[in-house]
Amino acid sequence: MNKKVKWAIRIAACVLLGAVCGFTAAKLADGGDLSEIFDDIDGKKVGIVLMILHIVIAAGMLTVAYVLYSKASKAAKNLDPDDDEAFDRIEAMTNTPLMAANLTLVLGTGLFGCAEYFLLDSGKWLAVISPAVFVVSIILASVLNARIVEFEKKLNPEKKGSVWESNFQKQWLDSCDEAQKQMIYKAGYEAFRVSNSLCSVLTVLVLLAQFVFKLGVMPLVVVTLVWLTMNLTYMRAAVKLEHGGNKDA
Amino acid sequence: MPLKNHLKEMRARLGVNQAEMGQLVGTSRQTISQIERGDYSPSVTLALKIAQVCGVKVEDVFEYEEDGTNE
Repeated sequence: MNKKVKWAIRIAACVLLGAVCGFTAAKLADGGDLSEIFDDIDGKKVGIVLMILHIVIAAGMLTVAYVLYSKASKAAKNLDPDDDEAFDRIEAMTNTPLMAANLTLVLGTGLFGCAEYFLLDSGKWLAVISPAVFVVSIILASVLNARIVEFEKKLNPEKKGSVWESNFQKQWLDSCDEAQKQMIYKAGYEAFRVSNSLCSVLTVLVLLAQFVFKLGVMPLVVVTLVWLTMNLTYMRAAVKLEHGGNKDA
Repeated sequence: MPLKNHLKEMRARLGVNQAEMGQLVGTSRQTISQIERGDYSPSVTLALKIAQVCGVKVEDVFEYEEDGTNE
């Protein structure tokens, strides 16, 4: 089967899927709006479950991250400057704590927002505990992030930047050499590629949910804005690089 | 990557570790490590710098090998 036929089959399948989803959405459109559905569930219980989930995830991730970071830090104290493999091993040990700190920030923000939605009208204590958990986890994750960056700077003295400064990412990138920049650019492109696919799927889901649950246009506007910003930023950067901006990449 | 290299041997001949080699050629220790492991093919500029520091021709440090994927 040649590529054109495969492409045509894929498009036909997408059209069919779209039609089925559209038809189903139209049928379900009388299902009622989402806030009415939420009225039927115990918001306080859902909020408490989300808050506990937030605490468990933040505590678990940060504990693992701090333990691994401490191990790496301890190993670096007895590091032989001529033991190149030990350097690589210690640097690899900082990847997991860094990832855990970042995931705590992202997941924490999402879970906090969802928990607050349900807890806001459920008594002042619950509405206060949730932001407290959020603030403490954000502070701990940020401190850990900063300590890992300082640790990396000790291992690699050519690295520059402080996470407490607003232009940290630029300073860090400027202090990276060609191999590290290439790694950052490749990882960035991978994130762009995956986010692009995710945005297209989210747009369809939000579009359908808009009719089924009467969510309003806000979710669709947000997804469209993110998708548009990503693509415009990518295209603008590509055009700039194409016209003389790629000399020191 | 079809680029083989003898950087580790050249570095041993100079008697420097990866961090020192990085300083000599103006790059990081991690990049020297990646080149030695074959995980990164350096730019022409960096390859020339490495050869210059080692006091050899660039072909003595880096060897291009056909991997057969373009055939």
